[in-house]
Amino acid sequence: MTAPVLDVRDLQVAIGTTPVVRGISFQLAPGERLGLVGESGSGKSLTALSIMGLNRDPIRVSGGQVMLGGTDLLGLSRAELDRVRGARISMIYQDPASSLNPLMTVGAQIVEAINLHDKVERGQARARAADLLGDVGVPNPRQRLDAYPHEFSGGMRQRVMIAIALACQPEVLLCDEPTTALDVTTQSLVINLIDRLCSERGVATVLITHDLGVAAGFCDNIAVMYAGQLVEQSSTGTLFANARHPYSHALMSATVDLGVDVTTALPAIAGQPPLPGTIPRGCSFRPRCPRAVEACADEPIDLLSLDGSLVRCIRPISSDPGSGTHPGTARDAAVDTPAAQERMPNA
Amino acid sequence: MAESGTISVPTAARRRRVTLRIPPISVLLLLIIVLMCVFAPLVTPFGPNDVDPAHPFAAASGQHWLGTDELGRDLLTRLLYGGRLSLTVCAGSVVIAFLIGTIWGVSAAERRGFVEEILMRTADVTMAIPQILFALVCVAAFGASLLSLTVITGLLLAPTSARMARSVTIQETSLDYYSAGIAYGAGKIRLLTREVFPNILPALASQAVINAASAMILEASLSFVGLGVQPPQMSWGVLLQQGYGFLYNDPTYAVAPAVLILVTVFCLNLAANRLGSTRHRKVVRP
Amino acid sequence: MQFVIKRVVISAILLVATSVLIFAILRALPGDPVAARLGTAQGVNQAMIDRLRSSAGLDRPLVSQYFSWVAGMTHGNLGRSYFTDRQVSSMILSALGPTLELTVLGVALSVLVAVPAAMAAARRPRGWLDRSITAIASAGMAFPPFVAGILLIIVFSITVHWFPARGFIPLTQDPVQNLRSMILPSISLAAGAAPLILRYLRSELVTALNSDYVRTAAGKGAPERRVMLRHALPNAALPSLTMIGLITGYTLGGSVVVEYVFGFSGLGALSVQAAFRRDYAVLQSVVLLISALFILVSLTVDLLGWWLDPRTRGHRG
Ligand SMILES: Nc1ncnc2c1ncn2[C@@H]1O[C@H](COP(=O)(O)OP(=O)(O)OP(=O)(O)O)[C@@H](O)[C@H]1O
Ligand code: SF4
Ligand SMILES: [Mg+2]
Repeated sequence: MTAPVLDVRDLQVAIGTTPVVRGISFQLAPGERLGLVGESGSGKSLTALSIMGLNRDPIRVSGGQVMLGGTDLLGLSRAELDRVRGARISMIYQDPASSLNPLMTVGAQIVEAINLHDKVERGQARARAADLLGDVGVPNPRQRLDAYPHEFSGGMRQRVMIAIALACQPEVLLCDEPTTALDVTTQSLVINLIDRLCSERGVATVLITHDLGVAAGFCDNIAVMYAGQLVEQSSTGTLFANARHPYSHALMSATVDLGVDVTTALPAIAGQPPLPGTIPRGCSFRPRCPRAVEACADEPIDLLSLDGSLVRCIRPISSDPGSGTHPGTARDAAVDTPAAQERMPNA
Repeated sequence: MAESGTISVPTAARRRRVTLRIPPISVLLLLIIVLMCVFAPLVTPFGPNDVDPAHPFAAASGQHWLGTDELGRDLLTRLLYGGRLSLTVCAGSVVIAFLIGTIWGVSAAERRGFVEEILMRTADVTMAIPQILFALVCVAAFGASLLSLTVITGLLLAPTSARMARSVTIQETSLDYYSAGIAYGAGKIRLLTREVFPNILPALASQAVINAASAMILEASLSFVGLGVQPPQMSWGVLLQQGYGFLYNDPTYAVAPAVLILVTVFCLNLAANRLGSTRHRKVVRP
Repeated sequence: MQFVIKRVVISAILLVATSVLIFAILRALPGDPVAARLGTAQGVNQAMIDRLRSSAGLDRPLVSQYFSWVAGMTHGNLGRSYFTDRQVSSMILSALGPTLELTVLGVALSVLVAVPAAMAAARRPRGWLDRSITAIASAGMAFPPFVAGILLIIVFSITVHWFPARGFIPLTQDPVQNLRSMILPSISLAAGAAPLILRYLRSELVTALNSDYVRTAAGKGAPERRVMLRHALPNAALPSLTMIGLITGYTLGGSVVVEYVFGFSGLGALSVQAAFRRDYAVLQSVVLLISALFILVSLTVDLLGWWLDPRTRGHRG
């Protein structure tokens, strides 16, 4: 594997003193697309914003590293960070309606993105901005440069956001639910646009989404988040065919026809995700897990590799497609020892 | 105990804790000022008009804590007696503004539409004239007696109270219990006086304290330019004006009433902030 | 455009209503200016009073008096002072200068102080700087302009002789002395006015700094300064424009006493004098003029806000 462009190591984020993101690690190879899925409140947005250094009081990063190329973004001063943000790493946000400055023309906002990192002369910057606007599919880009955000539809605003994010050819693009605020027909257009532009420019992408259908079509790999941790990470194909963690398994099986929203797609799993600060000891999924055993409560579960996937579960689901409901072949032999079997209530 | 239909009830315990807490410094200071003015004869051995021509502009001493004025009258004594008048105008106008403003605002909120338009636009008009100038016009028309000053100041502050009363009443009557009460046939007046009024009272009280500060400034301004309380009657504004005439002889003469006005206004503002921020959630009865 | 028309019409109605109100209070109530003027003079007889009354038009019905006042206004004739018999318009004209200058400087100073202070405070809400600035602001709000004025005179004119204690020197006569004579009066007004803008702008800035578009700007790599000045400040200033109208009202009202303190013969001093003498002809016009200025400034800032906001103005409308 080539050196990753983005290497997030044990990222921890807290609101005040309450940990919310509890040690996220992943790597992003050049041009790779990683999906980040999980229920609402699992900490996806906080992860992305922390990578960008965009957290605001009382939210702060409490540990870990975010390596972009060779530098740890978390160790940079504001001035140093300003040279990186927008130039080498960019982000697209969930709500395009509020993410653009209502008092500046769209052109001025794109030109600003260019000029902050590339001191080109005005006419040139405007020409580049118009090109960008054309690239993201805004009709009449030259005229539209002088329009204000409120004169654009939601989908068009998100295209402008994409133009801003890609203005300086970043290596990494973080997309936080870029289509959630848009209507259904626009959603796929915008996703396809991101897809095309990122392939053309070789931009590595993290796509945060609720929509597993979108994730399936767009991502090379998918990481599943639960209560501030990754519970499973594997290639898209593997995950859909063969989710090993009970949580992702429930997600996937509830999404047979893909395109179902994670927030609403969990009829199979009763209960609510734990609130930050009230996360149970041991496995955080235990209260809702159909496969839970007493051992699950003992100590924090590690994320371990299992047939090419990373899974955070001591009783992962079998890789054999038909036997998802049976106790799986455990990576950890200890689980299958007689002693462990005894502790299982229904074994 | 079932608390059905209740959003949040300030429990007896919580109430007690609030009342037992030591009042904030601002309130204590105000209390001290008021008490000293009310019981002025007990605080000072002098009369407000006891002249001592032999000792004009005496410096502060054990006998005259703040010194004396141009006629050798004890300055502290005059401040305390003057404060009686200032505080009377202040209190009287606050009551007037409270009564008129509350009725004005609540009726506007209650009778939406035409009546509301008329009432609130009237408030707009009266607020388009800077207060002090409005006061000048009224004083020119009505004269400047203690009574007229109090009434004028009260009337001037009423529109502000009315606006506040209207907005909190609209908020309050949009709550479920009110429409439910109406639907169950409870009388409007009864609902307004028994249920709505107690709930909007904290907001009105906070506004009243702000008004007290405005009244204090207004009275002092008028008296200062000679259109308020007329000597030999005195208020802090009158004393400030007299002290202003002797700025070069004895700055204390002007500074003392100035500081008293400042401290009072400042404490009133602080107290209003406090009142405004510790509003209880409304109690909703089934 | 509809907004503009509506706003202008409302202001016009407000102005008319204000004039009616001022007129009504001054006339419909007891107290006769002529009797007041002659009251103390010796040998006054009813004939003299009647003659004066009719020459001032006071014997005509109130409605007709009102309309002749308004009609005169349209061509600059405001009648004569009951007291000095001078043209009211010329009295006002000669008093306008100090008041206008005082108001402009008072408002300008307030804005100049409040804007940077609000930015400093909003950077870290509830931080020590924010707390100190807010505390100073609430202290400032307790300073009525005349109290501030007197204290300033004691400190800066009597203790150290930096600024003159009294007197207005026209700008045309000596710009430097004019400015020197305006400094203390302007500070007296700004002491109470600046905190009003500051509080409002600060809270708007805090909202703006928490907004998504500010996050976008930071995400582009905009330095903190640029985020504040280019993105947060304009968005916060727009709704705060209304406060300029409010401050103008405060300053115009405050000028009444501040002019008295500093011995300026401006509109404020004129109105006090007229109120003393029950010179209704002067008082009604001065108070109406000041109210009109207040209404006009409020209208102007509202329209300015409308015009500056692309969402309300419409695309290059
Ligand atoms: N500004 C904030 N103040 C307090 N809590 C916050 C704040 N922002 C996020 N949180 C909390 O942090 C947790 C994680 O939030 P985050 O926004 O990262 O979730 P998410 O996975 O992006 O959810 P969604 O799918 O709804 O966007 C949630 O419990 C949320 O309530
Ligand atoms: S560790 Fe236990 S509780 Fe957690 S997911 Fe695996 S089986 Fe369920
Ligand atoms: Mg989110």
